Amino acid sequence: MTTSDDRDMKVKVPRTDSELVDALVNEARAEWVPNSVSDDHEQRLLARIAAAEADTRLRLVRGSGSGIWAPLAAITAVAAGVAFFMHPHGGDVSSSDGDTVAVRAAPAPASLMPITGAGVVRVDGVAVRAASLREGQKVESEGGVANFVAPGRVDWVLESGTVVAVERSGGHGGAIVLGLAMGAVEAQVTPVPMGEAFAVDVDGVRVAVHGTHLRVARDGAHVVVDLSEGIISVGTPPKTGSTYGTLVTAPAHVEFSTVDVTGTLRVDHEESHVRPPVDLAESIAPVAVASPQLGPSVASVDEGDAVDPVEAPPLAPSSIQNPRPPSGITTPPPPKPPTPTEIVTAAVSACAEQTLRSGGAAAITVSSVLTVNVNSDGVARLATFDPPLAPDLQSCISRAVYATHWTEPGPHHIPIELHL
Amino acid sequence: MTQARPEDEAGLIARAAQGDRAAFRLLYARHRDVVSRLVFRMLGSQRDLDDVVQEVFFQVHRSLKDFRGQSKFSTWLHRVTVNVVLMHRRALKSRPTYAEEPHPDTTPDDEIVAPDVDVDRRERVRAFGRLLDRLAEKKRDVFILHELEGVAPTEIAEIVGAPVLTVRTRLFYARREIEAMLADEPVLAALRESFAPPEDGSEP
Repeated sequence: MTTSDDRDMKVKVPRTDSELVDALVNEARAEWVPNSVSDDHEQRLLARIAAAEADTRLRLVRGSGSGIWAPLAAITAVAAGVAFFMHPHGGDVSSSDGDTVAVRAAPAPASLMPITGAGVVRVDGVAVRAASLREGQKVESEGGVANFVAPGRVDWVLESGTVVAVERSGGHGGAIVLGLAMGAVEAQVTPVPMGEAFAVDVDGVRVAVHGTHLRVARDGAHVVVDLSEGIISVGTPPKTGSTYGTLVTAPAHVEFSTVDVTGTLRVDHEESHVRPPVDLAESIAPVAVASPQLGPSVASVDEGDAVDPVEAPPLAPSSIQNPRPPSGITTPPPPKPPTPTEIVTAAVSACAEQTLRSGGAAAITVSSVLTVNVNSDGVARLATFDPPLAPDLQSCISRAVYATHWTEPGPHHIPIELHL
Repeated sequence: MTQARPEDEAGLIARAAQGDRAAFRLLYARHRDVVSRLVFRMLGSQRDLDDVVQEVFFQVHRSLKDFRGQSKFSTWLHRVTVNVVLMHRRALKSRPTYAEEPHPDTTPDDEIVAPDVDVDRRERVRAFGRLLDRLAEKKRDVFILHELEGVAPTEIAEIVGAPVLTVRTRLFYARREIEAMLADEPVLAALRESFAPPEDGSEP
């Protein structure tokens, strides 16, 4: 190097690589200073804040009139409007006559049924009445509530004004993952023995569900989760495996900001602060739609999930009827609410993956029996592990045990076998 | 970030959280330059700086009511800034480029350097930027926070949501990888070859 270089180094002439890095850091520190932000930066920021506040006020005013729950209440009263179909493994869409659309969805991961009459559901911007959703698609629900059913796995609704991206479609038994861009998702999830059945991502933060009833809503970066059953994880989406984050057991009202989850996460276990769940099992109407406006038939769905959406006009409220499904047409059974044992079993898996996830090359099998003694009021009195497990794991599982309302008093024995 | 006037910072934050626009503007004025510098260093360029800094303060405004004071405001602000930059990067799906765009001339007026010296220094810094480009994102971020911004590892741990040990490990390997890559940049390799012999006469 030249002499001028040596003179210019801000520190003594480096003798080692480490000293050279120090010198470079010093130079970069002096060099990498930005130009000032633009003169009108503050004005533009304040204008944006004012616009956001005005928008919030406007939505509150609108909300107080019709109420976001009005469409949900209509779920039980109004039969299905438009039928979607979502099934990576194949399934069947039948048309019994020109005006009635029926869905037979035995092996499908999910079928979608927007319920309210004036609602429009768009997939990638196209209003549709039947479609096989694929990963990467954007689904919007406007003016109504879209109700999805994955038989035996999960029911969820997109509230009016909600936009989600299908990040994972749930094919091959995997989790269904939705990216929540705006609005709210409410779901009833059947517990799975391992891993996660359903998850909602909000700007890089994952609310992962092991078996539960929850609602996830966002207002910009502010996220509200109401957990009425089960257990969830809130954390960073993993590349593989389960979400590593904060475990939350029901009942819980959770709030956080996506820009700083750890610093803003608030968990309130006061039951009265948890938004009452919508009974999704009750809300699932027979999968039949009567509407001349729907056109003659729905799209046929082949094996696989590569079926394009079928465009459809929005339904007029007056056109919605609730006919019984034609005989011979099966409807997807709504998932039963999880039993206390299922909830705890899901919690065991979640806790194990969180507390024992460090792992190594060797496979480990952990066996124990969890005995829960339940009072006559359904509250767990004592939880014991025989043989004992790791303290962190026991503590984590116990939180779920004590947060669960048990339907039967007396001792409950839950075998635990974990393969790590 | 800004350490001055801690005695009234809490009051300002509380007022801003309650919607006091004047208090928020004071917070903005106090921290804008530091946020801008960190955003600039993490992005590696002036491009999008205005937008990202605005997003940081917009999110600060929205989230202030959730700030519980469990960590220092400066740490929280760092965390928000880092997260906004990460989200911005994710949206762009691109890596920062420290070396490709010319950096602004920031030489103080009273520090006159010869043009050739200035050019040499710029070239060294760009070469150093290219090395940073090659680091994994997590290592690069903690390296910038610690080495360029002077943030302590314990605070970085809070900012990035990782154990202190992990932060220290990332710092260790970031530095080691940079040292190993020095030879790949001709201007830095030449500098290495000119290492002054140690005083005891042994090889460096």
